[in-house]
Amino acid sequence: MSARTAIGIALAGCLVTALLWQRTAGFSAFTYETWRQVEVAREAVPVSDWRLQDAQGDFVRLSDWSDQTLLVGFIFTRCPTVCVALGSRYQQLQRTLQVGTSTDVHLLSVSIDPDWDTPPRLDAYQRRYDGLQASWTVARPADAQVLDDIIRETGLRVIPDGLGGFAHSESLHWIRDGRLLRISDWRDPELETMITNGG
Amino acid sequence: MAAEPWHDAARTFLVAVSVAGLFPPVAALFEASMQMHMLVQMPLLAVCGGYLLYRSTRLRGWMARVDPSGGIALVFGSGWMIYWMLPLTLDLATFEPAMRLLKIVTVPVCVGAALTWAWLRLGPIGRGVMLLEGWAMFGRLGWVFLISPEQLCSNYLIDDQQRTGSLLLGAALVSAVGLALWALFGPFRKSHRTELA
Repeated sequence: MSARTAIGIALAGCLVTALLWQRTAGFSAFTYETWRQVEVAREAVPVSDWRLQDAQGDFVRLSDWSDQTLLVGFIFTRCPTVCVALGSRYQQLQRTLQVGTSTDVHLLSVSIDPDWDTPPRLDAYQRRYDGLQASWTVARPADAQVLDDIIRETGLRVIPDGLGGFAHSESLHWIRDGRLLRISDWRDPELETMITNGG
Repeated sequence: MAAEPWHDAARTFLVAVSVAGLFPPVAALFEASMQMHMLVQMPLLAVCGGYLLYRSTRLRGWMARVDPSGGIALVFGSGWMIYWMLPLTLDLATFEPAMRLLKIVTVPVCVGAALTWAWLRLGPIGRGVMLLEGWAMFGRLGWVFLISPEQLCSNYLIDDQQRTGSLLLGAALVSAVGLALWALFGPFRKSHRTELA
């Protein structure tokens, strides 16, 4: 093997490794969901002031919680799988909020199926997990445009699951002052600590 | 170019498959399921690129000057193939137009043509290593897709992922068994050579 060939092969190896490194954020993200978490951790993303309708039928906006950090999860009430787990997780997190003295964090579940998830259905979902309105709001986007904005701004992926429901991103989104600061896995055991420390 | 009719045909195939992959309704069809995307569209693009190189004397002449050993093509081609087998890139190519374009442009050249060139230049041992590595890669990835309890692609459901995993494993298994049978009973048996000698 000539020196030229050896250098060429080494350069090709370096180039393709660099391209893979760049794409996977330093070999840390091999799926879209983890990549999204890494990207947001690197640079916070601005989000608009989503207009939502809560389980009581009242219209609210993100800016209504301007002095709090929102922990936003996406659900649909007919969901038989991950939204059930997400509901139980929020139930646990709500307990953490009750025990602690900090009111810096507010829990928000947003429906990705606004046509089906009317306020009474959202209310029933929240009741299933003993949700308290004081620290946990369950809401749906006020209109289709808001849902589009949410999906575009957060990079959320929602696809039909073939059973009339949706497969969607399960991560939890930390939002404060109109900025998406961090995306966490809902199973992250650090969530309790983060909530106690005010996000 | 009348002297090279197959070269023309190869170029037409490549352009047709590439343009089709950018045309929204066909793109949606190609990307509708993980199997279509990973096991139909990408191989089709790669085969078109490889076939073009195989048929074009000019391209092969150029490659012979740039990469006479085929080593550069082998390293870059394998790496770029891994790049497009990641759940992340599969996902991004379905909803990021820039990534879709990158896939359409680079898979024929950097995977198909590169690996074809490496194959043409390698001796029997090198080709054996290429095949083994290919089967191993398909096997590993297929296994991950099959047993992962999580949906790895945001755009493809878990049953789609598991089916793709089975197909990857199946493709590796069938081609490995097929080639093993060919090696055992085909024209390369030692007994044949002794007979000839």
